[in-house]
Amino acid sequence: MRGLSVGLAVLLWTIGGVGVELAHPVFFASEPVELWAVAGTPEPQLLWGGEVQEAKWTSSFEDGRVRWSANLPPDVPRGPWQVCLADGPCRTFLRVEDEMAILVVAAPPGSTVTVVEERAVVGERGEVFFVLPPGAYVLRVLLPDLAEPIEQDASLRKGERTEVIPLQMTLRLSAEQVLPGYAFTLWARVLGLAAPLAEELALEVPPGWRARRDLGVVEPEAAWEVLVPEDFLGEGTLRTTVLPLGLERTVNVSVSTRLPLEVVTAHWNVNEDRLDLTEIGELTYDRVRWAASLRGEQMPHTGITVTRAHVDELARKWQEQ
Amino acid sequence: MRKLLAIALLCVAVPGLAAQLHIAPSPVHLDGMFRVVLAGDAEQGTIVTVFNLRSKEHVTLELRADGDGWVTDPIAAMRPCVCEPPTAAARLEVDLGDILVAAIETEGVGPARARVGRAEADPTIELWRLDTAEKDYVEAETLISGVYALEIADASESISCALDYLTAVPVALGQRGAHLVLEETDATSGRFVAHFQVHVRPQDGKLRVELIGPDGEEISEPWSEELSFTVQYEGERVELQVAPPFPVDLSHDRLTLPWGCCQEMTIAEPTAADEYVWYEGETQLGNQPWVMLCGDSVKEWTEVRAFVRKGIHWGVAVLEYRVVPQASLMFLDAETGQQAPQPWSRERELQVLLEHVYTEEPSTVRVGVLGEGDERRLDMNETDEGMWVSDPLRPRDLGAGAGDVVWALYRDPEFPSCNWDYETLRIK
Repeated sequence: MRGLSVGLAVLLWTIGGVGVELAHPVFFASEPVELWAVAGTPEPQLLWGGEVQEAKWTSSFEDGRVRWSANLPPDVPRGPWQVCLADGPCRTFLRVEDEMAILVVAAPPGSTVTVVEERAVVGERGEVFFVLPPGAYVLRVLLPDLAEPIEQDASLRKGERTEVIPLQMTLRLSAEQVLPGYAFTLWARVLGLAAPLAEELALEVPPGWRARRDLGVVEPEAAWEVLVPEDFLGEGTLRTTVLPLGLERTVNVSVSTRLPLEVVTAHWNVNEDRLDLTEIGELTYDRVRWAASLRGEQMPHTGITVTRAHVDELARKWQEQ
Repeated sequence: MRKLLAIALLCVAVPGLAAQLHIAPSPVHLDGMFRVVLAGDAEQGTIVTVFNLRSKEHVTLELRADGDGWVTDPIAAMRPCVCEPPTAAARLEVDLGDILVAAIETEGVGPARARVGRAEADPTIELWRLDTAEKDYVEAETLISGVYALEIADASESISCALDYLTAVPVALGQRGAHLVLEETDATSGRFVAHFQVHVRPQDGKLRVELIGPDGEEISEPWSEELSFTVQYEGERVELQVAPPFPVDLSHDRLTLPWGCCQEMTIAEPTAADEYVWYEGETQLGNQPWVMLCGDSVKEWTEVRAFVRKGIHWGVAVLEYRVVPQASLMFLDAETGQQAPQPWSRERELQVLLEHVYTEEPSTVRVGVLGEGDERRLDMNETDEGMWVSDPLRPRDLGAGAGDVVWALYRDPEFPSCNWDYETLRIK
């Protein structure tokens, strides 16, 4: 599992479309306070504890909006500050020591993020922040769709804001052992990011193999049907990537002319009386009964004559599912 | 004359012969008058001779009838440096301890003798203080800083024609005693004087009174309402109360200082003075009309004293101050009273706890949601000294939702730049 660390990423702290946006919810003491406002708004005011504090503002015009920036003296207090527009809305931000580090974790709403013993629930904004002493930390992120948390390392430096997007990409194969000339399905699932990833997922297959994206599979999964050449035998490695995030996973598929009895049974399409490796294999009553009907005969693609012991074993495994 | 002297010596050497003469008074007072008295019969014109055995000097006088007896006119027994009074019929120069013998040339009448003793005296004690403005000594009414003269009049101690001394006159300042040596103002005045200095000044956090004798001997005591200076001599006693310090007003009487904060203390009254000294315990803090008190460490009520001098007079004021921890905020579970764990449900009630705030006015805490602009001011209720708690509130009432951070901020209105605290609470 790999996540993403971006030092000093600027993330807009937007509030419901009102005409003022803070660059961050937390600023370092020596960091200029930055915000965006609609063009034409007068110079903002900074308040602490209800009292206006002196600040020198500069402004620039960017993308149809005004970007305001002000430096505060280093000795003014830490804690909650307000920036207000004249006769307009106010926004509150936290001002913290330069000796600390700020960790911003982006995750889907409803995720729970735990760092050391501090736990936060991600709201609609899709991120939470932590103010921590510099050092190495392990984040535990429990995404809404997962039963187990993702663990992510983060190295925090003094006076720096570090953004982490914990991600988990899991791969599923319809069959790990396939026959040459047969197709199987690969599903890739990316969890931990609310933004769409469909276009960013890519699959690399061994030379001669063919992969076709199944567009019917939607976020957070992507699926490919992969066709193994008829003349391939051995191990084939498949690699999935999310290029912008540098995320990748690999999985190996074994190609041979004979498959285990259980694999063939679990993938047998009883209605069409053929082997279908593109679906997830599962022992069912119908499939076990089909195997039983082959007692004394060779099961296709296995080279194995089915015995009562084979059937008993298949039945036992089916019952244990 | 030699016959009479011989008889006088014989009489001195052979006691037991009938003495019909006597000298009155006996002993004779130095610088005083005496007479020779004959009890019994005598002939008109009888002459008395009075000898000073030491100096061999003599005087002769005629006895005259006085009732049943005979008496001479007054004879002055004087030191050489003392003039006799006009009423003296004769003068005999004497020293203390001399033996005087009186004799007449009458058979059967033995000589009389008497010793010269001290003059009669009724001692008095006076205390004077040098008034520097008047450049003269004035009667001392209280003991303040200055130069003093202790004068004892005791004629019985003026015994020579040189300056005589009163040695080891006991004086005391409170419980501390000393001895002064007084010198006669002239050879025959019988008035004895010693000068000493008094210094009243702050030392080691107390107003101390120092008395320095003519030989540099020093006694000192801390000022108290009961402190006085006493002199005792021959049953006479003089007591002088030490003047109390004048009142001084400070900018504060009592101060609670948060740790890490400073407060300037000033002298409100008097508005102008000649000297200032501030003490905390025995440690001097400064010598300006102000002092800066800083809360370097938490401590219980401690006294600071301000001493102010106008001219020679000192005044004092006392201030009490303590240093308390910085204000501290915490979010509490309104149900259990324990610290609210994070993240906290937006639906559950919590309270804000504010500690170490010792104001008389109700404290105010501001709360809000990070990112949002609206803030609320919570009124706080004092539950114990220095401890305040808000009414219960729900994060949703502040507009907080899952993922939001609620904040609380307190600023000390008296120390806004050094005593404040804030706390944050994550919401789920």
